[in-house]
Amino acid sequence: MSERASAQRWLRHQSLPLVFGLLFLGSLVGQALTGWHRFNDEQHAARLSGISLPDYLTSADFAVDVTENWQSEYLQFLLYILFTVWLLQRGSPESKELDKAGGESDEEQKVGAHAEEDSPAWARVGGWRRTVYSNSLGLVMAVIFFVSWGVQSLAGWAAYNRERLVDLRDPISWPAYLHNADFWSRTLQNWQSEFLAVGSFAVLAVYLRQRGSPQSKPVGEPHASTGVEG
Amino acid sequence: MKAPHSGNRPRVERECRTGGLRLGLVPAVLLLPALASGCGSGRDAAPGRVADDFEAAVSNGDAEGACALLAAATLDELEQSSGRPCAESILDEVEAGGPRAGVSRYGTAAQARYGDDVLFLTEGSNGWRVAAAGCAPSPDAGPYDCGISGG
Repeated sequence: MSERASAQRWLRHQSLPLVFGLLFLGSLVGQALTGWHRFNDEQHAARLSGISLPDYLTSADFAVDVTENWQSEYLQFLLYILFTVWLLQRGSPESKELDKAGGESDEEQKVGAHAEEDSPAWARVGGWRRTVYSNSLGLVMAVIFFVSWGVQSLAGWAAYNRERLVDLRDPISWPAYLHNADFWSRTLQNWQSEFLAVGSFAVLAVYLRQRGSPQSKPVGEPHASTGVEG
Repeated sequence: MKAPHSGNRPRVERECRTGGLRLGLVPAVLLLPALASGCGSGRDAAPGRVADDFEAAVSNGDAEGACALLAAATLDELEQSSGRPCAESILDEVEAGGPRAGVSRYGTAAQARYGDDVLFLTEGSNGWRVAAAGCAPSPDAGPYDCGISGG
């Protein structure tokens, strides 16, 4: 296979994250530019000076606007990954089969003696390594969620205090901000949309189809079929 | 109009950088320990110096020097409300507040606390300027009541 053909094949096999990566970068650039204009518009309305784009990109206002979305997305994935181990939805391709709730057997999970030749190394061994690897997806999602939520809390605290100073009010401490409506409003407005999207998707996929997508059952699959992907 | 310099005005407490740091995405994560520590140096120095210079000008009766350190909106508001040039009215509205007790900076806004006075500052294209002065806490825990402000 020529180098060009090999490269094209590689791109085709990685096309999902590549396309979403480009969409992410484009959206982030758009958010930066529109957020900068909105920030300066608010500054001018308060008869204050605007700031440059580089200053906005390193501001607490931009950081909180980005991280409040990141934390909710990773929380969504974390909970979806964990809940689908035990929770079921009859007829949904997103659900396990109705008699398979739970961690499943070693044979079903291909670990230890049931691992295959090309199974990941930590799936073949026992002890803490297998335990960690068996939960690695949820663990990484949890770490990213908590880190981004932590950054949201700090950036949101700084941005909120900037607004308080503009309004001629005393700033508040970070612990006080964790009990403040601004922090929880930002957090919950993101959580509600994530939970709604996941919950509604699990139900809609029972009755609706998208031909060719692994997120959908085959077009002709009965509504009652559970855990079947197209 | 040249702004006055406060010279060797003593500081009572160190300036705290609580949250005044520039928070980029990746650096924000790395700066968590610094933010958690609460106090530092550097970025709070600029608004602190301007606040000290303003207090020194007021203390020395240097009305023009104090006016030079006002934000444009605040200067306009003072002249409109008093009906006189800033240099003729500012010393009627504010008094020097005593030794500086601390500075807090968050992005382009800062607060400097003195014994009997609180200043609010804003950062613009020409550096830090006093946005409000002669401020005292309001009885209902709302915004400070200020002798001069930007409106």
